[in-house]
Amino acid sequence: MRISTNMIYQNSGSQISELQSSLNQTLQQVSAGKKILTPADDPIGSSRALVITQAAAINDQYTVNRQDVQDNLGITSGVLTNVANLLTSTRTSIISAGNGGLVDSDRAAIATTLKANLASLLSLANSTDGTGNYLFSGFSTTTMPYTQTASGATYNGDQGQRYLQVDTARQLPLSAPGEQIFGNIRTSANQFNVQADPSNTGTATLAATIDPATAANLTGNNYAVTFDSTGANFSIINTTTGGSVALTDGTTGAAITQPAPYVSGQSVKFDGMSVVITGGPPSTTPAPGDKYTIQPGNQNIFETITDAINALSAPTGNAAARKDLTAALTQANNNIDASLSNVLTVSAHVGASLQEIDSLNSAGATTKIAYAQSLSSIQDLDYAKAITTLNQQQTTLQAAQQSFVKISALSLFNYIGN
Amino acid sequence: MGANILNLGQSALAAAQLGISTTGQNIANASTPGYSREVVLQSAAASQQIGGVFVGQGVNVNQVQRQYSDFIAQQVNSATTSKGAADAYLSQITGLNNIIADSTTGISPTLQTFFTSIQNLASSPNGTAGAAARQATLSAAQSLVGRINGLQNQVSQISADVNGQIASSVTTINGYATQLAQLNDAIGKAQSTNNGTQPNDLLDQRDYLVTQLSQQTSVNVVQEGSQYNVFIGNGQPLVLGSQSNPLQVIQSTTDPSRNEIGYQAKGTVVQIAENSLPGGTLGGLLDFRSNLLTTTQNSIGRVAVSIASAINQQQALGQDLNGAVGTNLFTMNPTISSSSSSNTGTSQISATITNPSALTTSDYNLQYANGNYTLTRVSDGASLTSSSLPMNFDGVKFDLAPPPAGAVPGNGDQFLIRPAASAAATLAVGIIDPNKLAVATPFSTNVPSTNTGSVTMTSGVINSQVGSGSNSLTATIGAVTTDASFSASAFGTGFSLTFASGTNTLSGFPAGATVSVTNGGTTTTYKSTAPASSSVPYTSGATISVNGMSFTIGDKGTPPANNDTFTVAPSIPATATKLTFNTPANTLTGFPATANVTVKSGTTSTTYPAGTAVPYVNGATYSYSGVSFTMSGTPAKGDVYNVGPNTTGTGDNRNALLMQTIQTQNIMVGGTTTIQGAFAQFVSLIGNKTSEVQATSTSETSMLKNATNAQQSVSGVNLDEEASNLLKYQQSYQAAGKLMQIASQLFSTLLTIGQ
Repeated sequence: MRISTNMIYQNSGSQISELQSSLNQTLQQVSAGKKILTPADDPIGSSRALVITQAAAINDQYTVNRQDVQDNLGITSGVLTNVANLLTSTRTSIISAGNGGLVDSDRAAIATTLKANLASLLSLANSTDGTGNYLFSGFSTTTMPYTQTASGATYNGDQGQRYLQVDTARQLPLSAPGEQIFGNIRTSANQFNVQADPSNTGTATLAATIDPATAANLTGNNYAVTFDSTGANFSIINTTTGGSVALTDGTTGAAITQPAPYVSGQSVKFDGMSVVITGGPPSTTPAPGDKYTIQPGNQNIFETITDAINALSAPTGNAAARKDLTAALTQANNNIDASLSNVLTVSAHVGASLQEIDSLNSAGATTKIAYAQSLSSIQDLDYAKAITTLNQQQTTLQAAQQSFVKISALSLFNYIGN
Repeated sequence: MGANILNLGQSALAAAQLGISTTGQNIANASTPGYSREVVLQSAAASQQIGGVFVGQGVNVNQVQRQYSDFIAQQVNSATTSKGAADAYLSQITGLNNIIADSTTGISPTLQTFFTSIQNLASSPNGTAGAAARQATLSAAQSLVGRINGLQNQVSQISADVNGQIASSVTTINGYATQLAQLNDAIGKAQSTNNGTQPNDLLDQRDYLVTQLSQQTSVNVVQEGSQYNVFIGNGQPLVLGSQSNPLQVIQSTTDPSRNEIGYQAKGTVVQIAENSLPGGTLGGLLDFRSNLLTTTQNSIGRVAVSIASAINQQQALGQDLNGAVGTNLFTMNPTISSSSSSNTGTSQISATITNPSALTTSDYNLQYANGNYTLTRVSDGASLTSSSLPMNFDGVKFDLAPPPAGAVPGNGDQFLIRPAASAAATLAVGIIDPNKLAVATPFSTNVPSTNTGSVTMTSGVINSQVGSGSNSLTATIGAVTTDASFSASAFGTGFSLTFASGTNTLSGFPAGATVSVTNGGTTTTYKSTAPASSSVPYTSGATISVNGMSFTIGDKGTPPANNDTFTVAPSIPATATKLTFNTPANTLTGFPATANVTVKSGTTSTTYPAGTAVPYVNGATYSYSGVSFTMSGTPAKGDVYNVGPNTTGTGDNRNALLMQTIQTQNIMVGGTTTIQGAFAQFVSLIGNKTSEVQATSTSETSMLKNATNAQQSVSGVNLDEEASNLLKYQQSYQAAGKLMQIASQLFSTLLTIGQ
């Protein structure tokens, strides 16, 4: 085939240019350390790299979240341990207070110890997480969970449980609402814990329920129903505050003045509660001096300890008072046991969550490595191969350049002309 | 005889001279582009009979012939056209490829930072740590918006560049056309005055011009005598004889920023369809603009629409630090809708995005002709025809603006609608106060400690911005779903539908609203013009859609009573409610009077009309008026449960937990991929197309090289060959000179005979 001079120059020129451009491409790859410089180099790889990068970043974020949960649960766990210790020592004090050989002043000393325990417990319940948020208020993290009242303490938080996402499909709670730890002590399976005084001689029964219509007036305080010396009238007082109680007739709604006349089966309403005393024929009616105590069926530990303090502070002059004291201390012990059980349950949940975080952390670390490897196999440059290619391309370019010089020097005109 | 030899010598000399000068011409023009080497064609002159013998008369130079092959030239031209198209496309798409290449310039890093900030928001909703987390989220949102705006900006610059290059390509084509016409004229004159001899240099110039024109667009030359009639594209005449018909750059009728190509015909300018000019730089640019650039803008746009829509909808279900319902975090104006400047009517078309997941990467054409609206998806030509608007297609609702306009478009009116095209450019952050991020859920539950049962409740969730209720004892209204076009401000306090048993219809829809009723696959639309409102027939179980909401009203066989009402109202603020458990019926009472409670246990779901006692089911989810919660455990008689607004929970992070799931949900491309996945698909598309065009360009280059080599082997000058020709003609000249010298000596000898 006939070759024109232009062809020689053009073709060599374009080939050298192509070699230079592939050399340049390889050089850029080596400097960037990446196989993929633009999506055109590996379209599928580029798009996979984007998706894997997101997954890896989300995995890292879960690690951060797990650290947050771990920090919070660590503080919670420490608080719960302290609470459990306090409860145990309180119980020991109460048991020792049951010793018949103690006198009032001894018991008063125990009551003082209990007051100190109460204060410690309250401050533990109002712990914060280090950033100023209360741990045990549910969602209301800027509201102090428990404020002290005459009867113990009231809960000001809510029942919300805060969660954080610790894995793709797993959320763990950051803490527990206060009531789960310090409250939910059932004193009775019913709405109210009704105790007939041990020294009662009559056999009437008292039932107390919440009156739905006036339920907003519930105080959570303790009440005592006492029959007078005739056994035909009774009066009701609020034993927590010592205040008086306004009674209304359960059927008519009319106000009743105290002492109220006893009618078997007649319901009497006060402070959101409805009380019915039932007794049979005169021989089984309430006897003079019979007493019944009414406590809310659900208590928190502060109320329990306050009740115990009140019981220990009351003088025990006679046998009846002694019996009251024993009953009160037994009730307190039972309550503390129930509370301890609540605390330990929450503690167990916290422990389980912490363990789960450990295993999630190790799984997360493995996943992170897997993602990094995937990304690396898509993106990263194989240096050995690249540098070999670079050398090869350099050699080819040199050869092409040298041969071009030689060929372009050949011309017949070099030999014509004298 | 001597004279004859002298003549012989003279003709030989002349031929040799011509040979040398032609060789010289070839050597001089060895590097001239488009030059075809010339070869002297000579033949022996006719011999004469002198004295019974035929004696030759010397040499005639017939022609200085241009070595040129038409066929090979056509091959070169067509290869030039293909390469021109591939190169133009490649240079534009390489720009796009480079923009999204760097992982720090794409939107992925800022998208990740934004969702990370939402996770940190879930960890620290309030307090001092919360204030920092909230500010960080707003900053991350700003970065995301800035990056999306920036990406769109770069694409717009490429678009402007393409426009400019189209205009300059047309100018170049017109320049060639003028020159071609002039050359045609000159060649015609040259040939007619010189008895048909070829003006080689003019012919070379003309052929080279045709090659250069081929680079701009596809060229077809029809030779008519000595004239080239040049047709470009699919038969558009550019040069006819010595007349040139230049092209014109005109503005697109539907988009003034877009350059189109037209030609002058009888005083008006007629637009040439884009696919009638394939090939060459012009064809490559037009192809790039109408396919890839549109896809790019819409891909980025629909990513922006999905992010904004999903986050905004979740904000609206949450409660901010001030206790108010969340407002839009992102604002945007996504749709560009333009009417053709040749429309006779004055109507405009409005497009509202109802379902971002169904958005495609195409533009849409709407044409009104003979009473019918035809909606066409530009990318593949799929179309939908209807006799009235609104039409729903690909997640967009097309309607007359402001709906319903009194004037119907003129017959033949056309509109171009680009649903997501301006989303990326107009995306902005709509919240400045960090407290307005809705991290909490405006609903919570409480189980009083006075309960004796063991029931616990979840804190609850808000399912929808709109809650429904009814006072009918027999019919119920189900949950209301809202789509991306729902506007809380337009909804206001909601509305109430009343059932009329005489006409079996529901009335009370908002004035001027269009209501669609779907029953068993068929949809009927009822339109109204404010201040009137539609009345729709009642069918149990039909789905009713209006103003971006959808709900179902149904009964179990007994239709509603006359004047029964069905209400839709904002679900937030939730109504504070106290539920009571009753024995022995095992029911819950206390729900709001008009609540239609749905109890879902496992897979069974039952809705109870107002006033009906709702059974307690352990583990069931209770939903009404847009809220729902789950109850588990065993209740006791008289137990009560409180549900209602979340008034104190500033540490509540439930809405943030829901918002962060948007990152991993499949909310794009028909529900098949996440936001990042959709962007990755777009990156892969650009990468694939770029590498495809690179391969095409490489193969076209090699084809052009082969064709050029073939052409060069016919027409190219080889200096070594010319060197040997020089020697040849030089010797020939010397020999001819010697011949004349001998002829002259002969003559002298003749002359001296007589002396």
